Amino acid sequence: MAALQQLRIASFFPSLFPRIASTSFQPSFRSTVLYAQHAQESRLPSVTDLAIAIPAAISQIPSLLGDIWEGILRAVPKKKTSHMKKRHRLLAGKALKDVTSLNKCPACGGIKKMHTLCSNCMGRLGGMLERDLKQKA
Amino acid sequence: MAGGLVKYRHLSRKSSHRQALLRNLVTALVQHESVRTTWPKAKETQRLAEKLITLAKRNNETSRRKATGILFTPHDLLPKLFGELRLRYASRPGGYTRVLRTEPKSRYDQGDSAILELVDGPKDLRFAMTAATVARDQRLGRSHNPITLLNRQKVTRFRPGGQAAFDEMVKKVGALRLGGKGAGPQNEGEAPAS
Repeated sequence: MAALQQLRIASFFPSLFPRIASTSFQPSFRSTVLYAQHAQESRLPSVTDLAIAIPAAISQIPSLLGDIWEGILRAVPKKKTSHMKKRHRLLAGKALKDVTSLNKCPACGGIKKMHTLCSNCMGRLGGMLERDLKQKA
Repeated sequence: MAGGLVKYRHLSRKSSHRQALLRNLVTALVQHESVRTTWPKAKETQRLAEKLITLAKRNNETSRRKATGILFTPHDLLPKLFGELRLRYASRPGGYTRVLRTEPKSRYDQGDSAILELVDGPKDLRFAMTAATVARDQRLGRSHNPITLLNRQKVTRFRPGGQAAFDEMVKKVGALRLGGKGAGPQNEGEAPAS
């Protein structure tokens, strides 16, 4: 019974997947040997012969139509993603944040970043020091 | 092991490149008293600069040779280092340099930028800034902030004739009118204390 089952699977295989059977099984030497063994053993009751014969006939059709199915059944995007959509997606959650760590410059009263020199005062005081140094030299 | 303790910033350079960069910066610092660069470079240069001044204070043949090895133009700068700077920092127990954070260099280069300066030098910006703060407080008739008082104490502590020099600077900076031309007590948004 188990042998019969195995036979059936062996004979059904090429009919279900004709392309795989034709491309990958036949060229390799080892698989052809196995094939031959199966063929010899299959001289058994006529019921199984019938069962093999019918799918074998059907199996010819999908192999002809195989190339056509390939282009149609894959899921693909219908449209190219626009530049705007793409940039929105990639930059989501990366917006600039507000600077809240601000205080007043003690020397001029202007707004400046905390723990940094006020750029206005830095320029003017730095310039003054530079001029004084040059005058001395 | 990867990601272990890092003892110094590598500054994205190989050893020789980094060494050359730091020597360049420290040479410029000794020459010009102040350099503006990125904050990490300033902090790394600070280490080398402090070591260089310690060598100057040691003031012997070995330290002279070592300082010659650090500076790129030792013939021009060794007299300054072992003369002026050595005397300036003779009584100061370390902390000869200062790093002040500044606004980014440009709109496009938003990296942290900073000024590295020699403390008590002619380009001591903290000294001038504190003087400007005191000048403004005096103009508006306000009492000084505790931080301003602390800063004043810091910048005058080791400076020869510290308080007198500071008062001089307050006068000079007051004449600049940093808050703009109409920055008198009348035009100021905040009410004066007195």
